[in-house]
Parts: sequence; C-alpha cells; structure tokens
Amino acid sequence: MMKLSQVKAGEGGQVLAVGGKPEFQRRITAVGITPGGRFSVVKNDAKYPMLLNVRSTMLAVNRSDCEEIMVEVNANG
Amino acid sequence: MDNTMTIALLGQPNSGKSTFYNALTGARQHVGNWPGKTVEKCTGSFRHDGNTINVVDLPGTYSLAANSDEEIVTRDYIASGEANLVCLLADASQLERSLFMLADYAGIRVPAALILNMMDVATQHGKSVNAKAIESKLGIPVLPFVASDKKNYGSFYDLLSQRDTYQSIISDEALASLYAREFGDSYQNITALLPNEGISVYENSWLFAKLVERDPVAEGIIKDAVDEVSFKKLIALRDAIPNGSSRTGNCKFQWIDSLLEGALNTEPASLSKSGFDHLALSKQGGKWIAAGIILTSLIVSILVGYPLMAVGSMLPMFGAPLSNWMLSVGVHPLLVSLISEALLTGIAFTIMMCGYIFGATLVFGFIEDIGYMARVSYVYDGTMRKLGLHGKAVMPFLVSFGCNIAGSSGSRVLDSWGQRMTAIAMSWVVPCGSTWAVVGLVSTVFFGVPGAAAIIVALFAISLLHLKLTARIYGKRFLSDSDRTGLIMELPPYHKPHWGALIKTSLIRMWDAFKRAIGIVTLISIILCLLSYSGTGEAANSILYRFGSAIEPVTLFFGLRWQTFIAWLASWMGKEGSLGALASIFNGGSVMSAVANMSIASPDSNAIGAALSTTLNKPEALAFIVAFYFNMPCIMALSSAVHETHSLKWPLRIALYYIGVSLLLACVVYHLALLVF
Repeated sequence: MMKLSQVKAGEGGQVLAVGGKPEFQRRITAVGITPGGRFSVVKNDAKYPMLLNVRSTMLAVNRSDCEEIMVEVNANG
Repeated sequence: MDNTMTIALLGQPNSGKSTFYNALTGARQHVGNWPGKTVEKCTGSFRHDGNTINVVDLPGTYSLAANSDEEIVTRDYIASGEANLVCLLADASQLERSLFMLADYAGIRVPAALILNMMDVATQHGKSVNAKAIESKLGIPVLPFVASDKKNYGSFYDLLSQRDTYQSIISDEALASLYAREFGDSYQNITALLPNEGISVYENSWLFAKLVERDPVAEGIIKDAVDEVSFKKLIALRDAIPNGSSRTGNCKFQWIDSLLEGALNTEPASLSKSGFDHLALSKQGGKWIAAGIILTSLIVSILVGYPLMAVGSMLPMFGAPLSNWMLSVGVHPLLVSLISEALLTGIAFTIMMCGYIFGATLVFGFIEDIGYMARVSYVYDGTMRKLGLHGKAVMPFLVSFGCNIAGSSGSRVLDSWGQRMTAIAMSWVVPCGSTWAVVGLVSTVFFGVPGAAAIIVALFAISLLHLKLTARIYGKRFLSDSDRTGLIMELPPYHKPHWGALIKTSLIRMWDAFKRAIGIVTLISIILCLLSYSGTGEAANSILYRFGSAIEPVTLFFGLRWQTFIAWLASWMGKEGSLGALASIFNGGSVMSAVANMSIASPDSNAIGAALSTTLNKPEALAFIVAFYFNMPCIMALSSAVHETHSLKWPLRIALYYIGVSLLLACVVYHLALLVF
C-alpha cells in the first residue's frame, strides 16, 4: 500500500482508499477514482499535476491531492 | 404530445452540450440568471412539427452532488418537474467516466433519455458502442449521436415526437441492490427510516447515497420529510459510515460496468498516449510548445477578425462627409457632432471589438475542440496555482493579451463563480493589444528605444506584483475552500475539429457581445462628445478642458497634467482612445473626432511626440505611462465582466480598485522619478 503520488510513470494497479474531505471525495469519485478501480500512471513529473489513465479517460490530478489516495501497485497495472 | 414541451440538457463539461444546445435553438436563446444564484440560466426554444419545444441548458457539472451552486441549481431544476424530459449527454469516447452523471441520476423519478454524443470521436479511437444493448438494460431511450453533425438531428426529433419518451424513468433497482450489498445492514436501517415511497422525485436509494455522501442539501430535504427522532437516528447511522462518497461511487461504477458489459468494445491500442502528447506534455518542451501555439493563435485570431476590424475602422471616414452634408442642410452643429462623431465612433469601436471576439472564439474554440486546451492547462497548472487558481484559468489570461473582453468570456471554462470572478479580476492586469500603441509612443518619445524597452520590462515586473496583490485581496474574498480545490481535469483524446459548430458558436458569441456593447459604447461616446464639444472647435473652450485644468492641482499630485489626465480618462472608452485624446488636445481639434480617427490610422505620431515633449517632463511622462497601463480595462470589458459574473457590484468595485491602484502607482513612480530626473 502506498500513496498514489509515489507511483512511477508506467506503473499501475488498484485504488484501495480515497481520503480527504467529503468535497474532495465527491469530486474525485465523479471523475472515476474509487476504491477497487484500476489505474495507471502516465506521467509523474515533479511540480506538475499527475497524469493518470482511469476508466478509459486520461486525467490530470493535482499532485498534493494524490497523497490522499492510497493504492496498491501490481505488475500488470 | 402537447403543443409546448420543455426539455433540459444535462451533461458533464466537454460532453458537447453547448454544441447540441446551439444547434437546437440557434439564435432563439435567452440568457438569464437562476433565482438567487450567480449561475447563468440559458433557455432557448425551437419549433418542430408545429410544436414549440423549450430547451433549458443546465450548467455543465460532473455530478449531481451539491459541491457548487451550479450543481445545486441543476438538481433543484430537475426535481422541480418543470422539464418534461431530461436529455442526459454522455461522451461516447470516454463512456465509462462520462456515465457517472447517469448513475448519479438513477433514482430520480423524472423522465430521461440518454444521448451518446461524439460517436464519431469514439469510432476514431477504435471504440464501438451498442446503443440498443444499453437501452434494453436501462429502460430509457438511448440515442447514438454526433451533436456537431446536422444529419443526426432527425433521430432526435423522432425521439421527441414519441409519447413513450416522456414516461421513461431509469430503474434504481440494480443500483439499490449494489448499495445494499456494499453497506449491508446500514442500508436497510437507513432506508427503513425514510418514507416508503421516497421523497418527492427521489427514490430511497438515491436519498441513501446522498446521505452517506454527506450532501448537505439532501440532508435538508430528508430533515423536512421525516420526524425529528427518525432524523436523529438517520444522522447517527450516517455518521457511523466512513468514506461514503468513495463507496457509493464504487457502486455507481460497478453499475456502469454492468450496463456497458457487452455493449462497449475497445481496441486495446486506443488507450495509449498519442505521439504528440509525448512532446506536448513533456517537462522540457511542453510549456514552450504551448506558448508558441498560443502566440500563433493570438495572431491568427486577429487575422481572422481583421476583415471585420477593417470595416469598423473605415466607418469614421464617413464622419466628415456626413457632417458636411448635415451642416449644409442646416442641422444643429451639436447634433452633427453627436451623430457623425459619437454614434459613428461607438459603432466603429464595437464592430472592431466584435472582429477580435469572433476571431478569438473561433481560434481558441478550435484549440479546445481538438483537445489541446486541456494540455495547456496541464503544463501551466503550477504557474496558475501560485495565483490561487488552477490550470484551467490559464485561458482567460492568455486571451486577454488580445482583448480583455474575450478574457472575460474565456473564464466560462472555470467550474465556479468564485473562480471565474477571481480569474476575471486578475486577468485585468494583462494589458490588451491596444495598450502597446500608447505605451510605445510615449516611452520612445521621452526615453528612446532602449529606455522604452526598459520601461516595458519594468511594467511587466510591476504587473507581477500587482497580480500577487490582486490575488491576495480578491482570492480571499471570492475563493471559498471548495473553490480552492486543485486541478482535477480530463485530457480528452485529440480529434478532428467540427467547423460548422465552431463557426456557429463564434457567431452567436459575437452577436451577444455586439448587442451588449453597442448601447453602452454609444452612451459613453455621447457623454464624451458633449463634454468635449466647443462651439469654436477649440479644445480650450470645452467643458473637458475647464474641468481638466480646474483639477490639475490635484491630478499633478499623481504626476498627471490636465492633458494626460484626460487621456487617462479617455482610455476607459478604449485604450486607443487615449492616443486620440492626446492627439486632439495637442492638435487643437475636438477630442471626440480624434478618438474616432484613431481607428483609421495612427494620427501624426511625430506631431504628438513633439507636442508631448514640450508640455511634459520625464517624470510626468512616466507617471502617465504607469497610470495608463494599469488603468481599468475599457468600459466594454467591464460590461462583459458584469455579464459573465451576473454581478454589478463586484466588477464595479474591482474597476475602482484598478483605478485606485493605477493612480497610486503613478504617484509613487512620479515622486521617485522626480528624485532622479
């Protein structure tokens, strides 16, 4: 288990938990990041938002918000 | 069906909702306000088969949560039952995520139809969607669609003419059982405390989800419908459930997955990043590519708008023959002056502005349409975050380099009123294209070319401080905690532009701007004309001169002589107006005709320059440049901000703030310069 912000580009896996305030949870849920959902990291450059592939969509998510999202990385992500 | 029907359009941003709305209603649109909210209410209508169909374009939101005024307005409208049918738009090229709105809608007993828009983009990206399969599972009409293609509308009109359409309600059964499985006893206990038949249009499953998502508005609805004891029990049960939104969200996506099972085919290659994105999103080159494309777009916007700008700029040429003719038939000189100068100038300025607005809406609309704008937002997110905004706010700033009016309408891409207001307030620091003519002229006359370059660098440096200050003052006021959320944005797949829809949108936007601006511009022109009117044609006999020279002792404290003070005032009319005012004062003509003539060709710059250098000293010239550069944008930009934010109070206050800051900066620069020169 690790923070989403720590996952390297090209890796992927499964979302385990989404923390943060209810407002953040509602917003991030609406774009498809929910526990159990799969994801892969497209880009993870310092000082830039993270780029993710989630449910057939490429998403940019603010870096510090990605620290609220706990994930599990597996090889075939 | 009845003679009058109302349909509402519901969809996430980028679902193609505006394109659909514009295509349905054309010019039959009305923009108003949702009662008590600073959210734009767009209504329109069209006629089909002898029936009138009203269309309500609901604000683009990602879900039906109560995160923002937009979402609350949307939900309240749906629940009001005013619409006979809600048309839910989903982006077929990103179907899974896009259907979240549908999942959030399930459990609301208001008839709905699902429009799978952008089927063409889905196909381009190797996805095929079986609408019939989805329809049979969902129990409401599902229509594959391309909103930007006229040929598609027949099937939509057919849908509207079937009576069954207005009875189609999404069953919440499957979703309810997913909730029951996920939450176990909590689900049973909570729904048991709710009225058996739900509350108004809401099913209990929907109310349950909103309760555990900690939706304050839904909580209020439940509170009003159940007794106090039950409500307390409900809240206690709710509080024992952590991470409600994530868990209901998970159920909603499971529901979507089962809906799409067997109905959606994706070629595996389609998810990979495109080749261009490697460059466009790269750390090394992304910002440069974006800057290059934006700069090119600004230039192309002006080129596209040029024919119209040229027409506008030629209008004042008719002023002289027109006034000669009117004078010859005995019209009073004051009236002649009003018509040939004020009215003509007002129309000319408005047409020129419309040229740029059309160009910018078309070019930046194109960049948005092909999917690139989101990439610009991504690479500049860090920069915008320093101002308390996020990457999506980059657009109003960029467009403002051409014209602050286009900047205000560019703020529409932002999610909330607070963010829009902040972005507009800050984008006024950005100097529009017309600013440079005046700054260039005055600074080279007094300080030569190297001096002028140094001044421009200094102006940019002060602008950065100004931005910081403005962000501090207005960010605090307009951005609530929920507005300060970081960037969460989809990067749509690249696709071909839809020219027809783009041109139509640009024309509608331009026409809106024209209607709004023409009145106010003409009014201001008339006022300026009256103030500068003098029977003898000498500026020294006008009210403007008497006023200007009377308060010169005060304005001189800010480093402004009466001539430059009036030029500063004239820039409210349009930044070019300043140069015209200077020309007129020094050439002894009427101020208004000079403001008008500015739009034909630049007046004799050498003459103005020579006159300036004998009247002003260097500190006064610097004071004028600073006061002018940081002055509020023109009245048209102000009125466009009022229109975009539905607030008169705030744009006015911000304008006063800009006026104050510009004078204050001029004052500081003037007194510092007095020590040097």
